[in-house]
Amino acid sequence: MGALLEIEGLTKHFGGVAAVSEVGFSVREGEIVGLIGPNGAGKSTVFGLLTGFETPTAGSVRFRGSSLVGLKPHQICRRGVARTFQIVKPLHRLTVVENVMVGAFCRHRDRRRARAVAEEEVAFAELGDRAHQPAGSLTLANRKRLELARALATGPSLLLLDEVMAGLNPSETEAAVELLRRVHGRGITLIVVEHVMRVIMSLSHRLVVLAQGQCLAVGDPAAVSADPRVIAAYLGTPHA
Amino acid sequence: MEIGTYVFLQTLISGVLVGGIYCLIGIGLTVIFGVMRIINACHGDLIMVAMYLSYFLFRSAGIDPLLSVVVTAPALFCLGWVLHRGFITRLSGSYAEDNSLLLTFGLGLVLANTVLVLFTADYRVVETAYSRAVWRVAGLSVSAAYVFSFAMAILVTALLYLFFMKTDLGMAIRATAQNRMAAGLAGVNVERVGRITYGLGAALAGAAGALFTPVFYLYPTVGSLFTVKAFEVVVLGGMGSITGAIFGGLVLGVVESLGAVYVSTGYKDALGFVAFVLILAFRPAGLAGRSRL
Amino acid sequence: MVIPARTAALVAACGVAALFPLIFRHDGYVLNLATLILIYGITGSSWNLLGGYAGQPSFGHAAFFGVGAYTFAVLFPSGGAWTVPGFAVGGLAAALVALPIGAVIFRLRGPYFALSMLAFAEILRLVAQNWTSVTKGATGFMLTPTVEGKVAHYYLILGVLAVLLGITAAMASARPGFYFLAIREDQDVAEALGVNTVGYKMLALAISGLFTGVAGAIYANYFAYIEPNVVFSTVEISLATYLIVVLGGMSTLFGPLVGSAVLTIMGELFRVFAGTGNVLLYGILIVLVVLFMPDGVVGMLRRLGPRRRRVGAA
Repeated sequence: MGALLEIEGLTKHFGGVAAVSEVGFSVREGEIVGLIGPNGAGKSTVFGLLTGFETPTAGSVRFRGSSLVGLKPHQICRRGVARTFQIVKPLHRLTVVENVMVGAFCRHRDRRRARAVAEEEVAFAELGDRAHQPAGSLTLANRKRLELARALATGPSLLLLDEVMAGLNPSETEAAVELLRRVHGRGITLIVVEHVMRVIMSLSHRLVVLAQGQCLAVGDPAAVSADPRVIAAYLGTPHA
Repeated sequence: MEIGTYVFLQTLISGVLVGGIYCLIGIGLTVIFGVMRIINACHGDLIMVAMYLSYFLFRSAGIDPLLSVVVTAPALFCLGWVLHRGFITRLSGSYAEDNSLLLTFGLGLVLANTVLVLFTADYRVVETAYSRAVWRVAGLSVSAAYVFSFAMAILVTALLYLFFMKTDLGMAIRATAQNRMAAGLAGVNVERVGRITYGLGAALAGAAGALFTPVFYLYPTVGSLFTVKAFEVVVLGGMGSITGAIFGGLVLGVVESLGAVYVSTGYKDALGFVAFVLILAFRPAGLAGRSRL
Repeated sequence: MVIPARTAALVAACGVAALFPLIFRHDGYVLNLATLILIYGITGSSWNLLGGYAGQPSFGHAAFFGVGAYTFAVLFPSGGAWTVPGFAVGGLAAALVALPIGAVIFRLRGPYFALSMLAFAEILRLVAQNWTSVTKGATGFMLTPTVEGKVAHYYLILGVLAVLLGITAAMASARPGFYFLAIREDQDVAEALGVNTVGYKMLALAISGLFTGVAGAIYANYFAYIEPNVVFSTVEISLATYLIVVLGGMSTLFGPLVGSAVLTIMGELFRVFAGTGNVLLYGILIVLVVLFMPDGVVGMLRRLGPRRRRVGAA
């Protein structure tokens, strides 16, 4: 069975700096892959490269066998790859439902159908009682739910989540993990960037570790977290 | 030298001389943009106000326009402060950012038309002792008035340089222009810097106005001409860059001067706009390669 | 059956608009004013599609107005049977001009886009001024007025406005409208949600340019005389259009028409009572509107009225 997503030799240079260098890994359908690494490791850049917001300097990205390189973000979204943003971006002056409808219109041209789908996703994300509030008035936790519902409305088979837990308190984090499990339960493959270690460890089937733009390790969470190179990347080596 | 070279060099020199003054209007506009992200569409009208002030000082008290800089700059600083405090900071509502351009445009209209109502649309001109003086340097004809204006412009720019490099306030302004959040975290009072910067930009417009008075015709709507020039300077040099504004000012002065002599068609101004759009669209960092867009 | 106040008001307004010229058919001055309100209503409503709904305010719509006016004038100076199709041709010419402009400057955002549009309008104005063989330059272009009678003109223009508002309403409540609003709020998010932002911006620009061009053609035919400094005017056309929509209410259906009515009437009052000071009052009006009524008349009415949900009107 071919992988859903195959990344090989992914490289991105900004001026003289290599933000991402020769990164490669694959994601199987139905997996949850955690993408971790210290700050500045290049995780968000990888997301940008996968979703068309950045163009790779080199390397290939294949989704269901066909290349995503050079496609615009909206084209990639239509192929079934959706993302959330690290800094949440609600469409402030639209209501929650209207926000999600924008996503729903990706697969449904008709307004009534789009609205129905949007309302389902709003309910799924447990935002039902705020459905008609302007998105700009939501709390951070709810904005993240909105971000998720909106991405889900586009009907993705692969969802990239960029630090969804950032800024959430412990109970909000628990709820978010629950929600992500339910998303996964719908058959959607996830790539999750996260800093909250216990969350990513328990959630992921496999981990990909990035450091300084390079792929350090790929594999089972327990094995990867015991890898000395990974530990060194996070904590630094004892001496120079 | 044969005549063609003479003409070229003279045109080049007068371009540089007027470009020196353009630098000032460019620096004023770019500093306002860099610090406050406001596109000051009334910049030219501020220059116009300064020109009228300078004109009346000359008419009533015989003060040479070049010396009136010491009056016009502070006066325009105050006007800028008032405009900022009284109007620009009041922008609110969902469309605040988009509307700042509309607001400053409106303020410009108010300035230009207040002057129009008060002083009529008559063209005015300042004739000083040296207005028509021409010097011959190495066989080239050079307008004395332009040289004096240029010299003052250099002086003001040098003072500005010292201000930005050596004073706390100057460095605070530069810091805020580079990275507003970091400057705030470092203890800079960002709001206060913003207010002062607008006043500073207006003061520079005030200085430029005084320096333009001996060499330009004066009428209430001359401001829009200067606003266009100010934008062209800033786009050439990169929005938000002070050295870019100096570069842009000189380039614009030279290009205009050469254009007037070698390309005298009605389309000349259109070419300026075309260049403006193309640079903005394809090289937003300006030709000098720096920007804070 | 209870008729909601809003619908009743709407029907009443339509009634007034339709019957207006019949009531005032002998008062040329009033009819003239009403026609002007409609023409500016068209330019404002077209601008609104791009500047209000799609969030790309332009400071240079005079470019399209002027192109429409001159295309009509040059191709159909004596109108006749070609008058109405001529309006369409004027609009098409403006739309054709809009596309390459968009291709170049849509990479710019916010005020930079607005300024570049202004530059384009100025470029076209200078072209019109200098291409004297075709446009007759600064002396202006005289047409032979067709469509006899102010009443007939009024209904013609009202028809065009109705079509434009119909198209706007249809788009606003369907996918294009949502996509425009998404682009207005955050272009990156829109892209990530599957919106072809470039395509939709071009669509908004093309329609906006088209109808503004039609308005220009109508203007040329109605006033039978145009010159570059009027139809390509930054203050009289571009700024006025922007102001009309802000005054009436951005991204509302009837805002531009309301704004046009208010501005045209006020402009007339300024001209009559203030002489040379009329532009000054105009400038003061701009400042007041931007500072104290940024959501426009319709926006304010929405806040005061019942909390009826409307797309994107938070």
